[in-house]
Amino acid sequence: MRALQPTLRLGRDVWDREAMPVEEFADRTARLRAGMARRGLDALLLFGSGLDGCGHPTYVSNYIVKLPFTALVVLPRSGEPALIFEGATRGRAAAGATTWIDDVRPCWRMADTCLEVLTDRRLLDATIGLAAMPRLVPHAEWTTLVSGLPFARLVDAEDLVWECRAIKSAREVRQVERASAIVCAALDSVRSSTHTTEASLAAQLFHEARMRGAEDVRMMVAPLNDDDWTFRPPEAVGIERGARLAITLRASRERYWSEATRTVVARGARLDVVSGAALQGRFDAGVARARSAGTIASWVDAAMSAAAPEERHALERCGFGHGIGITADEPPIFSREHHAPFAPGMCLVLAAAAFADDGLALHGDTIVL
Amino acid sequence: MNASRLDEVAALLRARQLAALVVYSDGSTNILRPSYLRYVAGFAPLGPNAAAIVTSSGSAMLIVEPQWDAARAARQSWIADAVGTDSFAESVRAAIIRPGVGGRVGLAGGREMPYPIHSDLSRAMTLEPADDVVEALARVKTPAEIERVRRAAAAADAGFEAFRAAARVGVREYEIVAEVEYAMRLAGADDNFILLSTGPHNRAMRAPTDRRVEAGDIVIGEISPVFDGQFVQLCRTVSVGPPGAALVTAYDLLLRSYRASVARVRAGVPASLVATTIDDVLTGAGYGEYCRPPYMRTRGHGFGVGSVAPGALIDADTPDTLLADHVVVVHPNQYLPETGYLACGETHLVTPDGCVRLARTETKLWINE
Repeated sequence: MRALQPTLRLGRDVWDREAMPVEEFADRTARLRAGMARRGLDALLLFGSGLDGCGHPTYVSNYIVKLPFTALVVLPRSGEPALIFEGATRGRAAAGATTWIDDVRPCWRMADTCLEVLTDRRLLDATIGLAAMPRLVPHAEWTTLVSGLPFARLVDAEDLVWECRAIKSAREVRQVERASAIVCAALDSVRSSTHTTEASLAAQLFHEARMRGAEDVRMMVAPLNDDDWTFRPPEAVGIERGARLAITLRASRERYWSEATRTVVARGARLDVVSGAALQGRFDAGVARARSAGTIASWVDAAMSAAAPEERHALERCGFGHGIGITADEPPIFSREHHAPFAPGMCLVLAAAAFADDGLALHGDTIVL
Repeated sequence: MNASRLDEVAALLRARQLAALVVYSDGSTNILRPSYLRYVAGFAPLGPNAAAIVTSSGSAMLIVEPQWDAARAARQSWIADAVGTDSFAESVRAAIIRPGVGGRVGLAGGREMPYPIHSDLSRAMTLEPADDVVEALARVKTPAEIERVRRAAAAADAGFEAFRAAARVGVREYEIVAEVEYAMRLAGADDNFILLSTGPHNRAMRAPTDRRVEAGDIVIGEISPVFDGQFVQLCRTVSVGPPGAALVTAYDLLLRSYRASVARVRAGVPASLVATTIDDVLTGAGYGEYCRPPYMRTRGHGFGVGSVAPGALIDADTPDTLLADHVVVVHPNQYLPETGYLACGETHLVTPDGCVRLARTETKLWINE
């Protein structure tokens, strides 16, 4: 589920080299380079754009954009990679402090700087794999880049990057678990709290998450009392007595995201978190199905079969599940058309819906297979 | 803007011989760039793609991705014809290529438009850049916008109170940011841009780290809350413990340069005066070589939703003239060799006779004993 993007990723920005050492990035580049060798690629360009779309360059470099700008890693099959990011030269020191890559180039014209790097590396006539290109590249940048590479062979290779990112390493799993601890603690703080507006509820959740070291925080709510409810950003509106609100909170810590959904009911100003055997049972069954052999399509089929019509409708609205990691929304996005099998090392967000406490309730959590 | 200005847009399009205007957004908000779609539609999109389409005959339509966000778009925007889509380019094409609409089409916000969408649309129509159409409308703020700016200013005051209260020995940088964000959200801010730095000799403002404030530190912050798309900025410095003589002297210099600059701000004067006046004071004190990057970034900038006139960066070469109801930040934020980087400045509303300070927080060196 998409959430409103902030102007700035303003939370704690730290590279803990014990949690995520340089060797982790060496492993990643080695796996990517092995894939490049199999496909005959001389270089791989990993592009990212904006706060929600920079996962590929972050995966290799650990660098994140804090403003909605672009970033690119040029990864030659042999030789030193380069990190290019959109921003002023004074940002080089801060970027350098959070990446292992030595060749860091701030710029305002991404395509021109990319061509400079490719020239330096003698790759202008190479076979170059592309990740998220041109999918996310602003049209003017793409036009400049392509016109500067008349002798190169450009090949889509985004699947190679997703292949590597899909199965998390033990270190990545621990990072997701740390992010999960933040999300769950923040949502737990809502239990029996008093809020009369969505804005004050949002203020508390953001505060709880930030105080625990969240780098980025997003929140969406769904007023389940409304017949035509959908998720939306919290608004400056009151929470009325008896209101039933599904809250989805996602937070990142040191690059890795987690997400959870809880349903609260307003008893006057006090918010009670809806729990119950039916809701927990549905969620646990979903977790068990994901952990057994099967495909995403079969998981969705089973969830649909187990759900009552209104619960089914709710799941169709909020989504059944998705991958999570360096970006908050990653493949696989659960659907009946997705026939990929579950695999150990996947980090997934699963959703469940059930009637509990006199109404519809949604529940979601991040799990590791 | 609202429906009352639709005729104005249509007239601008006819004057430019444009059949229609596509106002695009990828869902991101950049503090120093206009948010064209948000200005035109009065709606903050989630992304990845959204567009308002206004024709020269005066009709308007809003197309948003993801599809499920259409209800929120219809509720928040003045554009009644709001539709959701999962095929963005196709929907935009269908909206434009219809009886009565043909010819050249203006594109505002095209800088962020990814190549595949631009390429798709370009096959069906002749697109030409038209950011200026929206910027012409948005150049001077309306009374409703100024009211939102004032609400943001009140949030900035609350944010600074929290900043000052948190800037104490033992508090981590990210905890300061958490407290500032919390206070500003409770004061009505729906988004926040906060940078800071702590230490005895800061180099620049940046994202927060784990560092704990120590006695004798200088804590600098750029506090920028957003209220319904409108930003306000406060740049402040807090001394943790009694300030040394060098800090007092240096801050006094910045205050003198700030006050000299603000004294020259009024409608009809060149915006460049904001920068040259600050530079003159600093140069007169022997710091001429520090009046350039990397020792400073800019002396000020405009703020706004549809236009950031008089510019995202005010320097000696800024060609614009200040106009009444421009919202301008004046900040001689500066690295000085004796003290490190210091933050000083704030947001002003330009009037025919001068300018009005928008926040109430006193402009001075703050001291936490």
